[in-house]
Amino acid sequence: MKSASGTDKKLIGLFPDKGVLRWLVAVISSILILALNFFVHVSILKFIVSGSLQPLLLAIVAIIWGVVGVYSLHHSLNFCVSLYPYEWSQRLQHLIFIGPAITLLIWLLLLPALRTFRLSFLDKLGETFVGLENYKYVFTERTMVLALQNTVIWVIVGTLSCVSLGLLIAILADRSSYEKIAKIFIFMPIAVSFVAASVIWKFIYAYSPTSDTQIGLLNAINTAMGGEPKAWLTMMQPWNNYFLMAILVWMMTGFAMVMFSAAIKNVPDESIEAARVDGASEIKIFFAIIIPYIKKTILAVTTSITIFSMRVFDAVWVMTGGQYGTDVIATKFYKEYFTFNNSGTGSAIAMLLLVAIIPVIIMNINQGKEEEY
Amino acid sequence: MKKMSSLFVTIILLMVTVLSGCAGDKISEVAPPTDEQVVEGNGEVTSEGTHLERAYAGEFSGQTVTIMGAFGDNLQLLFEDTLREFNEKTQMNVVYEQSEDVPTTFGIRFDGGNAPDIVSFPQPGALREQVGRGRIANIEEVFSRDYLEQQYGSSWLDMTMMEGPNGVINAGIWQNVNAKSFVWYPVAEFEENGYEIPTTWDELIALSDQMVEDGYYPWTLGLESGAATGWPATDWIEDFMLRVVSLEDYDRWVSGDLEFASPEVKKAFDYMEKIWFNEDYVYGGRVGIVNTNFGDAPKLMFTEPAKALMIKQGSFIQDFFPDEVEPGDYDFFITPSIDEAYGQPLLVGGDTMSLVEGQDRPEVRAVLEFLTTGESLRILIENGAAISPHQDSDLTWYNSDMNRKIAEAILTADAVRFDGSDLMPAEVGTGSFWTGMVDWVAGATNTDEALKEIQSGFNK
Amino acid sequence: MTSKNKGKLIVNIVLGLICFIWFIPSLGLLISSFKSADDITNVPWWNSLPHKAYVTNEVIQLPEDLSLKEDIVIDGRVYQDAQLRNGVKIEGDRLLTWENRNKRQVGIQEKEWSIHKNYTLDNYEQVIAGRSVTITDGEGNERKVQGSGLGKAFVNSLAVTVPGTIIPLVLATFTAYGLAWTKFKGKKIVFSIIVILLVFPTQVAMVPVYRDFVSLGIAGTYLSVWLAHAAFGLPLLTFFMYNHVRQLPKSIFESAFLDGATHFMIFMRLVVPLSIPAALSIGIFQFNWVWNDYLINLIFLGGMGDNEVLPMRLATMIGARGENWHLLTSGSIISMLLPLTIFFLMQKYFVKGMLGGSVKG
Repeated sequence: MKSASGTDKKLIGLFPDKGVLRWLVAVISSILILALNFFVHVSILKFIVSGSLQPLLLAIVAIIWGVVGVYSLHHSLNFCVSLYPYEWSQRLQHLIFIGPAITLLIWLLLLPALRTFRLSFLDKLGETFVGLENYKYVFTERTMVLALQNTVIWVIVGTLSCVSLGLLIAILADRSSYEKIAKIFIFMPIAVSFVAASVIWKFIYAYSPTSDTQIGLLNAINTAMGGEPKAWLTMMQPWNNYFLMAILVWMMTGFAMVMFSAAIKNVPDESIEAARVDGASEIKIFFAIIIPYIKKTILAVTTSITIFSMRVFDAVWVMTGGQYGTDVIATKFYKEYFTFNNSGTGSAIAMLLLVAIIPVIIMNINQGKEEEY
Repeated sequence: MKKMSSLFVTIILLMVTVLSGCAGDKISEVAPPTDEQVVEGNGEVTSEGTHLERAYAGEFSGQTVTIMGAFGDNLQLLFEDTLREFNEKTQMNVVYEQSEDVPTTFGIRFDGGNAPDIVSFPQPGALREQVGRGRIANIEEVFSRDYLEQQYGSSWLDMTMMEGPNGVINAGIWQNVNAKSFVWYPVAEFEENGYEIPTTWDELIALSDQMVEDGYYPWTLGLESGAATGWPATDWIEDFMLRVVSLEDYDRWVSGDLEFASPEVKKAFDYMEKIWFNEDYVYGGRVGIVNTNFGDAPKLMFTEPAKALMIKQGSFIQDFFPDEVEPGDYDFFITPSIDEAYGQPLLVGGDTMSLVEGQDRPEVRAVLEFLTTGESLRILIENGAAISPHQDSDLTWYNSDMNRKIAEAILTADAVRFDGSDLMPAEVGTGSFWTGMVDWVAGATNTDEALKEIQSGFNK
Repeated sequence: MTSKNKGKLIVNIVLGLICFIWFIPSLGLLISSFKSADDITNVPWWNSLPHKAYVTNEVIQLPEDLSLKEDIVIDGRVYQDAQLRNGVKIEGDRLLTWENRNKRQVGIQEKEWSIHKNYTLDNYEQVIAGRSVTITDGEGNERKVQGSGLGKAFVNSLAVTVPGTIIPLVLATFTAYGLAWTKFKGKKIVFSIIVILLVFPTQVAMVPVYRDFVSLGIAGTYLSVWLAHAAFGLPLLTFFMYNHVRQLPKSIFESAFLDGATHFMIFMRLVVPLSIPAALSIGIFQFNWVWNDYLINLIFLGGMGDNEVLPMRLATMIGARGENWHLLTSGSIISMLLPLTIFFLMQKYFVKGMLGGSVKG
């Protein structure tokens, strides 16, 4: 790599920084290099698509291609950019880094999002313009309003629980004598698919009539202590929503824990030791040193879990299907868009999610501002 | 700066376009040449015989036909075995693709221009939705009505007539069918106590009361079904509707002309209430119903001693009986009539096979023709996995008396009708109808409120 | 020193308690996966642990024609039917309850230590080898048809998941650097779009994306499913890598620039090595999501046997109406093994210096 960059410099040195010749060389080489890249990658893609390889071999080829290919693509683009006059090469720099990902995002997510925006003003079949009808429906229909309310609760309660529990566990694990094992236990639920989670939680929440053996753990404990078995997920409205939230908390706390645990490890031991010497209590150390130190991680984790809670779907879908007043935005979206095949209202609900995220974006951007260099 | 970014994006998009150009060519190369002989005509007979005969003659060897459906597990294994045999005989390559959620997968595949050739819907309601979007071809352009009537009873053919963008079409042919108006019971307990099979409502209630006196719970019910929670209750209403109103009114009800809030529909709810809300009749009472999975409910009939003695469910419920229970340990009767004038019609359902719009190729026609014959279900029937609606399938194929009895019941029924909730718009059929029933059984609403709530789905 | 030890002891106990609570649901799954279908729904899984349970050791036969609506007299005491249904406690910590209500038998139960002893490997065998069906033809000949097992689906899942994790991770790291350390206008807009896309329901994107893939001729190939997973996972990965990369100490960049390094060199030599632990920790989540995904794989890869991935295989086995859901227990355990192993092996990389600025305060 050293020699390569050395060559870069020598080549650049051949031409004056400004002038037609430099531009000509830069543009022609850019085109050539782009064409070469294009040819090579298309050939590889065609090879991959042709299906002449075993899946596993294919995956290996893909990984090599993914890593080496992306590297060589970036490297050659970087070379192109460096051929341009200094001012321009500085301008083009960032494209090398963000270009490929942004292209993929625009193509596979942003354009569909714009399409959804358009559909949200059209009717069920996506043919006639209906103005704000779909939005009116979203904000006024009884079950929709309930779903909105539920989602707000999910975001607040779900996020707070995940983040605080994740932080607590990360701190405890850091100070315990069996950190690795403990983390595996908390991480484990992440590896569970939602279908499996539905079976798992059936063993927790199941209800049987008093005369039968309780196979749900909660009711077994409840009846052992002399209570009547309760229908946790169905007839205990609105508390059933909170029992569903427990599933998300169980699954997502591991995410928060892994992120926090990593951040906590970066808090310099010296500052903690110094505080200890000064006689600060562990609680004070936590709030005065650790929290400020990892606040960016806290924001990032909170943002992600807020988003997971806003999008929560499977936990509700597999347990109650949104019945018994447990619908959330995502289940309503799925019902409208796919089950009822109503792309109009379905899209309006999707747009609602996009708008609801704006405060979170503002928080993140403000956070970024503080350290702009 | 912005210009440069957009330039870059343009270049990448250009690359994509070129790439797509290359690949596009490849696709058109692969596309099979159309067979001019079959572009029109009723597809029944050509100079060389029917499509199926031509397939057996090896004319379509090497051609691929894809069928998408929802059935998995042993049904899939048996069906794939059927296809293997068919492929051996014809040298064709007919493949079955399984998807848990056919309507969604099929919709995306169709819109993407990569649809399967034949699609099998487990619910006619989902099929109707697709027909409405013009994604399904008219099967009567492939087969003549005469041929279809020779293969199926006419009431079956009537049930697939659906409204498409260009008028009413016949949307598909019937494959594996089932009936829902059955009450299942454990034989031992019935014999021991000398219970007689009820044929009228009064007899059913008398039997239920007798059971209560004998220390049994007559009924076991379960409403929970994950994302589809609520459907078992809609089956009850449909069955009772068939018994308290005429078939015409039933059809009007399904199409939304007879409102849920009308006295006729309320009557069905009232009858259902007499069983469902009677704490002496139902094991676990209303709380039990709401919290029991539909698949766990029948297990209570086979505990020692039996906790409950009857469950009203479709024929598929046998899959949920405990492993050690064999046909003969249990039996079924048809839901008794309520109003003698209407008898005991059967609520039926099943898998349809539909030709996907734009896939009308001769080799696809051959496969469809194969599917209209009982032969295409023979392996499944012989292994107790299917009930055939085909006129040319033989009752002797059934490997158990139970399945033969079900097949006979379906063939000799007073009348057959579809599961109404499947045919209602999805907003009702899988939306407000489910929710309304669930809230009603859970006690969150009274009957009038529930009816109003369900009806509101029609007005969306 | 003693107070420190005491503190550590408390920490260990509290953490142990939390871990235990977290593990209970999974433990239920693990134990159930070794039980027969009927036992799973009838016997609570914790009965596999030693416990005290009521066992009938005496049966009282009442007159068979006894009416259940009237008072029931047993040993000179009066009971109601409803009481006997739920069980009545009598002296000596015994329970009086119906043994057979129909035959009017009342049982007297006493608490005894017991443990559930019936376990089976059937669930695992069926899931790993595939379900088999013995087909009988008209002449009574039998032949066995074996459904596809887990092996192939496992390999396919790997082929989908590994590139589906690595490709977006590489792209995200580049993007994160571009967003954090190069200057350009519209940075905030790009960042906002990425966060907005985080919350966008990807199901909506499937229809147009699938259409594009079909016209490109790549639908049903692994490439399409890698691209889809890459794009759908990119917002979160980028968001996290951005948060990591921007927290790297400014000083190391400044000195590198002074030495005349270009952005590209800094990225390859400084940012990538410093980002590997962070990439691994967020990567493991992407790995899990792709590994457990059903819908994206089904739609982009197609449902044909050859391309089947694990969640599809499991869904097929459960059956259209969920009649074999007991297979889900063992299937889920098996599909959890790989992510857990990876997490365990990678833990050693999650050490100091992985996330957040280690120098900057």
